[in-house]
This record gives sequence, C-alpha cells and structure tokens, in this order.
Amino acid sequence: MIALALCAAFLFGTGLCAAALPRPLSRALVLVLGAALGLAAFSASYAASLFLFGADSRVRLAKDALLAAVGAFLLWRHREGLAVARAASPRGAEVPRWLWALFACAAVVACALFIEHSLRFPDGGWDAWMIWNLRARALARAGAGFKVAFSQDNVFWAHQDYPLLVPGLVAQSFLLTGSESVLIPVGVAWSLATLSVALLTVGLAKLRGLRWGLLAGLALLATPSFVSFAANQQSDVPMGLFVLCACSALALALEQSREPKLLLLAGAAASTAAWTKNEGSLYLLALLLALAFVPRALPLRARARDAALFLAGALPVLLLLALFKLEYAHTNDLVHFTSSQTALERATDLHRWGELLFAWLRRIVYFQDWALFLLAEVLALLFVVPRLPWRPSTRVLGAALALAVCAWVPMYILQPHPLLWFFRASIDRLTNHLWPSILLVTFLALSAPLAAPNPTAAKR
Amino acid sequence: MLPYRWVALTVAALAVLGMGREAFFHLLAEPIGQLPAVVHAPRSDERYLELRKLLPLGARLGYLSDELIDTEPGPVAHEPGTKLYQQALYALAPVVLLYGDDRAPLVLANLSNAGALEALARAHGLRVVKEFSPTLALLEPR
Repeated sequence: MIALALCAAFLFGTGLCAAALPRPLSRALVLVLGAALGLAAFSASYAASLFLFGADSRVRLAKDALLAAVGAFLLWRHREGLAVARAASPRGAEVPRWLWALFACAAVVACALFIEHSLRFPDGGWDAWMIWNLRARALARAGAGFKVAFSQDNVFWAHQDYPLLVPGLVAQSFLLTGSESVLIPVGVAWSLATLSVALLTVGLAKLRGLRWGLLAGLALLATPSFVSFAANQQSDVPMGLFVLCACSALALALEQSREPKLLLLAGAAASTAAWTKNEGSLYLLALLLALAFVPRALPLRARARDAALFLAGALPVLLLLALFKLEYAHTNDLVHFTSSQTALERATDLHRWGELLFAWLRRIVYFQDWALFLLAEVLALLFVVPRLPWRPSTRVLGAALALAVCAWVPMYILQPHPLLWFFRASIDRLTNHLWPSILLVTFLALSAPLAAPNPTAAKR
Repeated sequence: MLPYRWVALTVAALAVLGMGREAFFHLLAEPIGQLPAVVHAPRSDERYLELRKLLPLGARLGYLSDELIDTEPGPVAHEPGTKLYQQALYALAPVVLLYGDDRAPLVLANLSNAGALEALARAHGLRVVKEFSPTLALLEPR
C-alpha cells in the first residue's frame, strides 16, 4: 500500500504536468511541479474519499489505484514530449561556479538547521501540534468517527475549520506506516520546503535560465524565517509552495501563448493553496481577478476565457472545500468573535490604522526573520522594477500578489484580536505564503526571457 | 535589464547575511550545547499514555484544572493552563474536552499542582475513578 500511495502521488502529479506543461518539456519542472501537485492531489483525494465513502482502508486503496492509473495513462500518452525534453530545452548563459557553491552551502546550512530545530521540537511549533498534527492524529485514529476531529466543543485554539492538505498527508502516512513517528510530519515538512526551493529554481530556470533560477532559490534558502517555519511543521511553507505552483504555471501560460491546459493547471494549483489554509482562497481570488482584469491589451472575451479556464481547473478542489466548510467546519474564530457593530467600530478606529502602518514599516527591517531581504525587495520594487520593461506575466502576477497583500489590510483591521499581538503573531506567516512567489515575480522582472528553443532540436 | 552581476552580488551578500542570522538563531540564541538534554527530555504525550489506553475513540470528557485557560481571542493570558489543555487534546486525540464541564459522565482533572486534586474533586462534587499521577485523574459525579 505504501508503494501504491507513492506511485499515486508521483504518477498523477507528473502525468498532469507532462500533459499540461508547454513543449519542449523541462523534465526537472515536470518532476518538481508534478511532485508538489501529486502530493496535493493525494491529500485532497483522501479528504474527498473520506467525506464521501468513509474511512475504510479499501476506499483509500481504490482512490490511490485510480490516481496511479490516471497518472500512468497521462505519462504514457505524453511520453514523446518527455523523450525530447532535454534536447530542446534552452539553457541560458553559463552559471558561475561560485553561485553553485553558495547555493550548495545554503542548502547544507538550511538542512542542518532544519534537523537541529526538528530535534529540539519534534512535534513542531505550537501551531503545528495544536492544529495541524492534532488534526492528523485525530483523522488517523478516529476511523469512521472522524467528524470528532472538527468538534466545535473543543476550545477554538484548535481551529477546527482549517483545511486539511497538510493533515491529510500526515494522517495518510500514519495510516500507511501504522506508526505515528515524529519523523512523518518532519519528513512532510522537509519535503514540501525542499519542493518550494526546487520549484522556484527550476521554474525560473525554464523561463529565464538556470543562473537566475539558482539566484532565486538561494534567496529563498537563505531567508531566515523560511527555514524556521519549515521546521515548525506549520502549513505556511506548504501554502507558499502551492501559491508558487499556481504562479509558476500562470507565468508559463502568460509567457507562452496562454495555452488552455496551462491555465487549467494554474487554477488546479491555486485550489490546492485554498485546501492548505483559509487564506489560500483569498490568493486564488486575487490570481483570478488579476487574470481577468489586468491584461488590458487583450480583448474582454479572451480575458474571460482565461479566467474561466483558471476557475475550471480550480473547481474540483473548490467543491471539496465547499463540502468541508458546509458539512464539517462551520465556525471560524475571526468571524465568530466579530459582529457588524464591532467590525464597524474597528474599521473607523484611526488609531488601529496607524498602529498597523507602523507595525508594517517596522517589519520591513525585522532582521530576525527576514535579515535584509524584505528591505531589499521593497527597494527593488520602488526604484528598480518600475524602470524595467513589463511583461504580461509580471504584470498579472505582480498585480495578484499586490492585491493579496492589500486584502490583508481589512483582515487585520476587522479581526477581533488585539491588533499588534495578532499582527506580530501572523505577519511573518502570511509573508511566507507569498514570499516564494514574490521572489519568482521579482526575478522574472529583473531578467529577460530566454531565446526561443531551437525547433530542430525539439523534433530530434 | 539589470546587469546580472549586480543582481547576483546583491543576492549573494543578502544570502550570506541571512545564513548568518539563521546560524546565530539556531546555534547561539537556542544554544546548541543544550540540544542533547532537550532531545532526551520527556515528551508531553508520555503524561497521557496510560489514560489514552482507557479512553474510547472520540470520548467526550469534562475538563477541569487548577489553571485557567484562554477561551477568548487575544494574547495568551493563561499560558500554563492553555498549554496543558492543548497538550491533553493533542495526546488524547480524537477526544472532546469540555472545558469547565463538571457534569459530564467522566471528567478529566489535569493539574499543575500535585496537591490540588482532592480539593478540586470536592469542590465540584466529584469522586476519583482513576488517578494516573498526582496531577492527572479521571473523575465522575458522586
């Protein structure tokens, strides 16, 4: 069953990517994006089968067999694309040796510190064991009585309404191995963080060449909060990965003739972010709105088609999310503790707005979690990026990310907790949701597209 | 476009700084010398192992403690009690712990003070069904 589960995740994800990614295929991109989306599909299909058909192990076996079969079929159908992948891929300029060395050094340091933190906190950070690993344990242990995992009678700190992508991965691993070893959530956290770095690197390598990809990957690896949050086993680094999946697929679509299959894939990827944390729905909406309204050079009909394809790709997981929210997870603490009267009072409290502004300005130079990366990013956005030529990909993705950040503002102002406490407790997590995608878009803006691949090489 | 070299050198400098900060935090702020002791410290789950074996899946227990817990949004004002409740929830999952409910058929007493059990049981009209440790017991109404 373990082998089948691994095959299900790997084959389905890579099959989907082999079918959707533009030719010539980058095998590395198929592998990395496929692994990320395969894991997401493995988790989402677990929740769907659990809700619809129950907790019987034969149900999980059948859904894994189905995922593996669909993935194998897609890979077989697109085997020719994979066969010519390497020969036709543009490589870009030579990568300096020192960059390889620094990237390797950053990877070693990040892994060593991840291990150190995991040894120190084997159950993860407070949020990890209080929410994500708690839910995984409850789902794995409860069997047919899994609804108790979402009981509103426990105190609200357990956040019973949070989506289940990460708990679904951990719970299935508990069930498959028959063990609740701490190595399982640690392994899941490490894998998803590693895929984030790998996807940023190979995604940019596909669009701009490997030397740009390695630079972006290096920036992510060396961001202090990235390693700490990954080791804390919370869902924020996974969220960053799935937003990055969506942004990478959209960047490819927007730079390569807006192929319908890529837009479907981008929508599917964005929906996995919505299945990771509640904020994911917000990011999906931001991407959808940017896709529909930002490329003004395109006729309205073309933009409507792109948005519809994106939404169609997201639909299966959005239906699962709707089922989860309507049937099992009714109450959200931010909504539960807010009335229209208190929301209005908070919205009109100027002191709150001022507090938020200063807290945000302080965060830009918050060395502990970001070193000088956020400051450098803000300076680049203010003084460098505006002077560079805009492309559809950077325009749409930049607008989507800006929209997502703007949507945090009313969230902070209206939520019921003391503002500064809530801001300090959450802003680094939120920033980590978007940080890999911010790096992707920044480096896409700073660099020029690669020359078109040699068509004769593609035919070989 | 910006010259690649400028961007690369900037990112490299930022990365060295970032790695330095990571290393400082994980090796010095959290002293690496303490790691062996931390690794061998007992996990919170161990406190609840015996109790977990007795509970049916999805059990609903009343929950009492000599520590308050936070039930409203905001900064954690009662960290020891809140953490104790959450550790019990985590260790005993899937379980429902009804905070403050002393009329449930079974009530979990989860204490930080070893001498508080008897007084707590008496104050709520409960009797001890099973005592797992001086700070952890199952109670029921008299």
